[in-house]
Amino acid sequence: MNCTEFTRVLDAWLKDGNQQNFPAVLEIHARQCNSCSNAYKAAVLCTSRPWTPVQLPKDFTQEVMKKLTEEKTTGLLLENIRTAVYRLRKGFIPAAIATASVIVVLFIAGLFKFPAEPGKITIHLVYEAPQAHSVAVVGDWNDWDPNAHQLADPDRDGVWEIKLELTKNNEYRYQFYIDGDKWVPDPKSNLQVDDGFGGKNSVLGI
Amino acid sequence: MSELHPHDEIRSSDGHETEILAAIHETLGGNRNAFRVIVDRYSPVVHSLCVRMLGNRDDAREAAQDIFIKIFTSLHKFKMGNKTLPWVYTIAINHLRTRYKKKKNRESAENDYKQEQINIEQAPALETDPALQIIRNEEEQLIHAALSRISGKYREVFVLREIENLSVKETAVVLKIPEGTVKTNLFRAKQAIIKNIVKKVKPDASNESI
Ligand SMILES: [Zn+2]
Repeated sequence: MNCTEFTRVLDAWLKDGNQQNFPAVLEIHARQCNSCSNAYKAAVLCTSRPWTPVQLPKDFTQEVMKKLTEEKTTGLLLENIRTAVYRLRKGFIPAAIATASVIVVLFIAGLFKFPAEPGKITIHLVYEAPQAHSVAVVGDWNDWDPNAHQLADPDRDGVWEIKLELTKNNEYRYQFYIDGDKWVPDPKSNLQVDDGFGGKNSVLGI
Repeated sequence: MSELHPHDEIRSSDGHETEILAAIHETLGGNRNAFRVIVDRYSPVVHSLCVRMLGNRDDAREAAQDIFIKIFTSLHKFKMGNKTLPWVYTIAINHLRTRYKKKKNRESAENDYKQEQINIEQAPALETDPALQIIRNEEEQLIHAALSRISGKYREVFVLREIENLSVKETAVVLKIPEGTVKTNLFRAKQAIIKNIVKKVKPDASNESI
């Protein structure tokens, strides 16, 4: 075997992608030929597996989670959540992860206005859902953050409530967010508009 | 040659896949903390990919973190029913491409100038980088150094297929190229790496031929 043949056989072997059976003829030639021995060694190197694992930096997950709270991901994510939730509602959830059973939520919600400091108005939001485990209200006033304003039902009568102080002369869009799963407009609100994700936002003008 | 790849466990378990899907669902439901499961599961592969692609520990760590931020803000785009790992790799590769371009632009001015003065006998920056202390095997370092000198499209395919042990099909999905192109580029990548190593080991050869 000469050097030209060596290169041809080596290339054919590399092209084949076969990780086994490194042709013996190559090794025989490489042992005798200085100029091909390095190519041979390099070829063996770059086709040998497995590679030494890279060590993950300590506390990597912790750092990512910290970065998540620092970066301005929240608003972005929440918009995204709304899209996804609507998609999930259309039946994209595999059975394996579908949450609990279908809960029939009966609700009566209402809006009551209370006096507050000048320029502000206190809104009392009520939402009836006896079978719900959690009810949040998301809207323009909390950047659609489901963790910002949770309704409470301390007496367990199925009526969830919250009082919010909002700035006057504004128009707010909002929805209720039930069990971390369902987005619903306020059934008692007078005005509902398309939310751009296949659902409805309630509109509150104060 | 049929040894278990360190990432095989991450890749093949259906139980893990269900766990990840549940975590995606929960995160999208507003529980940010559920994302931890996704980071825990995929940080070894994402970080490893970053080290192989960037060849620098600090860069790799930062890139891997940014990739998870990107995954977080892209969770809603994940199509339930697809496999999560190729999706993670796709996001990672896209991020690394952008990062690499930026880095190249930033360094190009000084590097273009320096390039001609670099003596091929000098150890390339990559090999003296403390990053590669984590890759203890000297022979692997040699390949890593060569990797940093070949074209990005060959590096990607080599790292995914050879080092990270993705199948040809998976590599094609992640890089959005036909399987035939994966094979061709992999072959060219190996050729380029071998050439680089040979040139490096025998610095005089190239000088003599001039
Ligand atoms: Zn020869």
